[in-house]
Amino acid sequence: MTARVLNRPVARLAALKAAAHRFSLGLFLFAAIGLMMVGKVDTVLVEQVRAGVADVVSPVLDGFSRPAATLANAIEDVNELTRLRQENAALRRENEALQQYQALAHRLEAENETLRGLMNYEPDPAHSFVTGRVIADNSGPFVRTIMVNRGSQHGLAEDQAALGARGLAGRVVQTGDRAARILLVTDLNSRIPVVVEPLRHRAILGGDNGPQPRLLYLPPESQVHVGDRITTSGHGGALPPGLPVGTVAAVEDGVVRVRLFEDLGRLEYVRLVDFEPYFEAARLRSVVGHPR
Amino acid sequence: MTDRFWQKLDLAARNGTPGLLLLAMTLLGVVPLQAPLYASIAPLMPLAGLYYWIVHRPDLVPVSLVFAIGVLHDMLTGAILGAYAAVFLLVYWLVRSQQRVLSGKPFLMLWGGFFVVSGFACLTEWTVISLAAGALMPLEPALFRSLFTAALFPLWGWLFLQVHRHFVRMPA
Repeated sequence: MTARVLNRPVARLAALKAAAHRFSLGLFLFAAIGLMMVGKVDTVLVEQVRAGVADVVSPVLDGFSRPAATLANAIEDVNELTRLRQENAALRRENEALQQYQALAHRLEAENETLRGLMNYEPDPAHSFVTGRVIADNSGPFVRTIMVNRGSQHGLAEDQAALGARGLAGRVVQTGDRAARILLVTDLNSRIPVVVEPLRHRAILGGDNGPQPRLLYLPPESQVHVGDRITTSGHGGALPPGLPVGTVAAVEDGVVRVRLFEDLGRLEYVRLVDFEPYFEAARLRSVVGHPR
Repeated sequence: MTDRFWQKLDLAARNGTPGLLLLAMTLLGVVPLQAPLYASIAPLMPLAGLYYWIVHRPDLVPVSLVFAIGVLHDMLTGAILGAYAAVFLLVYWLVRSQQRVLSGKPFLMLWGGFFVVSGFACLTEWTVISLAAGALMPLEPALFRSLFTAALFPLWGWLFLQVHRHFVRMPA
C-alpha cells in the first residue's frame, strides 16, 4: 500500500515525461511543415538565411573538399596511366583536325572583322570571369546544385553563368558574402534559353534531374538532328550568347535529349561569367544615345 | 572544484559525441567526390548515424537535435526548407518505436533493420518532395539511394561501434 502511494508521483512524472516527449515530436514535425510553408511564402527571407548558413560553413566545407579532390585526382591519375597510349593516339588525331579548324577560324575571324567594319557593327561588351572552387556538391536524386567558394564580395551576383572547362554548367541562384550556390543545368528547376545550330532554332534547355536535359519549346517545324551543337542564345539578357552547352544526343518521340559538354559529376573549378556590362551598356545607351 | 569541472566537461564531450558525429556526417554528405553518376544515387549520409545512435543511445539524440540536423541538411543541399527535417523526424519516430526490439541485437539484424529504415526514409523523402513540387518525381532514384545508403551501413556501423565502445560512456 505504502509502496503504491510512494510510486504514484514517480509514475505520474514518468507519464508526464512520456507525454512531453510525444508532444515534442509532434511539435517539431509541425515546425518542419511550417518551415516548408514559410519557404513557399517568403522565399527572400529563406534565401537570406541559406546564404548566411553557407557563409558560416564554407570554410569547413572548403577544408573537407580539398582532401576529397586530391583523392579523386589520384584515382583519376592511375586511371589515366592505364589508357595513356590510346589517349595519346586519339589526341594526336584530334590535334590534326583542330589545326585545320584553327586555320579556318583565323580566316573566318579576319573575314568577320572586315564585314563588321563594313556594317559599323558594335560588338557585345567583353565579360569578365571569376574562378571559384567547388566546395560542396549538394546533388542528390532530387536536387542538382553545387556550392563555390566565391560570393558577392568577389563580384558574384545571381543569374551569372557558371562554366566548367568545356561548357555551361549552370547559373548562380544564391550568393552569400563568401559562398554561392549554383543551380546545375540538369536540375528540375533549371531553364536556359539556347539555340540549336546550324539552323539556329530557339529552344529552352530544361533539366529533369537526369544526366541529359531536354530541349523544350522547340518550334514544331524545326529540324533537329543527333550531333547538332547547342549554345546559349542570350535571350533574357542574363547569360551571354554563344556559351557552349552540348550536342543533341537523341531525338525520340518528340523528346530531344542533350549530351552536355561538361561532366557535371566531376566539376572542381567553375568560371563565373560577369555579364553585368551588357545591362550597363544598354542603360547608358538609353540615357546618352547610341554612340556614333 | 576543478576535478568536478573537468569531470563535467569530460561527460559533456562524451555525451555530445553522437551530435557532433551527426553534424560531421551532414557536412561530409555534401563534399564533392567528383565521381560520375554519383549524384543520382548519393546516399542520405546522416541517416546511418541517426539510426545507430537512436537505437543505442536514444537519450543522446533528442528530437531537437534531429530537427536541427534536418534543417542544416536542407540548408546545405538547397532542398525545400523543412523537407529533410520532416523526413528525419519521421525516421526518429519509426526507429524510436522499434528501439527496444533492435537494441542489443546482432549486427546482421541491425543492418536488416537499417534496410527497412533507409527504404522508409527515401520513400518519405520522395513523398515530401513530390507533394512540395506538386508533381510525381521518378521513383527509381529514391530506390537506388535507399539501397546505396543501406549498403554503406557496415562501414558507418563499425566506426560508430568503436566510438561507442571507447569514447561514449555506457549508461550507468
